[in-house]
Amino acid sequence: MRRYLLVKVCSEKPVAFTGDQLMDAIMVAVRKFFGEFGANQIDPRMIRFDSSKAEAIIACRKDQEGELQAAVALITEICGSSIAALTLKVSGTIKSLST
Amino acid sequence: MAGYIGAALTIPSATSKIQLMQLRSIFAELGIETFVRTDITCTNRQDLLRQLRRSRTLSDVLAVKCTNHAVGLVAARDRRVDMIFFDPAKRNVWFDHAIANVARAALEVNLSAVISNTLYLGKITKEINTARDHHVGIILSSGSISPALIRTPEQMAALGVLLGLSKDQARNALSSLPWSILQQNRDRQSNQYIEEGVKVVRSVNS
Repeated sequence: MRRYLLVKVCSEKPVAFTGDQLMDAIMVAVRKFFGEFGANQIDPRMIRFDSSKAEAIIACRKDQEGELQAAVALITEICGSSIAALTLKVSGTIKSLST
Repeated sequence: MAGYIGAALTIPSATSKIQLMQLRSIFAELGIETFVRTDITCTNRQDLLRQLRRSRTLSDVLAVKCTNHAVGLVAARDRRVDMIFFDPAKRNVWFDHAIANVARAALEVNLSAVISNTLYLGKITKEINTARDHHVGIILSSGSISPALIRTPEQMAALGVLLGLSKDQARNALSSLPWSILQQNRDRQSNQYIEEGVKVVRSVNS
C-alpha cells in the first residue's frame, strides 16, 4: 500500500529544474534526516512531474507520509536556487491528486 | 496560503496605522485573519517589566525572546506573557527544567530555525521534551521572515512529529493552543473583562 503526495515547488525567482533534480533533492533530504535505513522504509518515488506548474506526485509507503512531508519541508534549494517545497495534498490514489 | 486562517504579524514600531491597514487587507483578500504580535527582546528584568507594561495592551499576542536565563525565568512566570522563545544559535541559554518548572507562558518553537539550519534539530527536540515533561504548552510557528520559509500546516505538523511531538500534540500546537491564546486575549481586551476569572455576564438595570 502506498500514499501519494502532491508537491509544489515555489520560489521568488523563476527556477528551471527537471523532475530528476527534484527527486534528487528529496532523496538527499530523506537520507540526511532519516538515513539509508529510513530512506528504504519511506521508499519515495516520483510518479509524475509537471514542469509548467512545478508540481510533482511523489509516492511513499503507507504510514511513512509524515516522514516524507517533514523531509520535503526541509528542502531549501534546488540547483543552487532558494525554493520552498510545499505538500499540497496527501492521498491514497493518484487520481484524486490529478483532478 | 494553503490551509491557514490566521497569522500573527510582528510589526515594527515605526509602522503607521495606514500601512498596517494595507497589510491587513492583503491578508484579508486571501481569507487570512491577522493579529498584531509584539516580540520583546531585552537583557534584564527591569527592562522586561517596563516593556511588558507598555506593550501588553497594544498587541494581540505578546512573546518574549529569552536572551538570558534570568529574563527567561521572569518571562515564563509572568501572566502577561503569552509565549517565550529562545534563539537556538545561542549556546548558553535554552528552555531548561528551572524555567519549565515556573512557566505559565507557552514555549514557542520557530520552525524557520529548523528549516534554515538543521543542526538545531537536537537542541529544539531537547527543549520540546522538557516542555512535555512539565506540561508546558508548545506552539509551533513558522517564524518566517521570507516566503521561502513558509510551509503548509501539514508539513509543520510533520516537522513537529519529527521534533518529538505526537500527531495530536503537533496539531494542537499549530491550531488549538494559538487560537485559545488569541481568544483569551480578545476576552481580556473586552469591556466585560474585570480580572482573571471574573467577567461581567449580565448588567442589572436598577
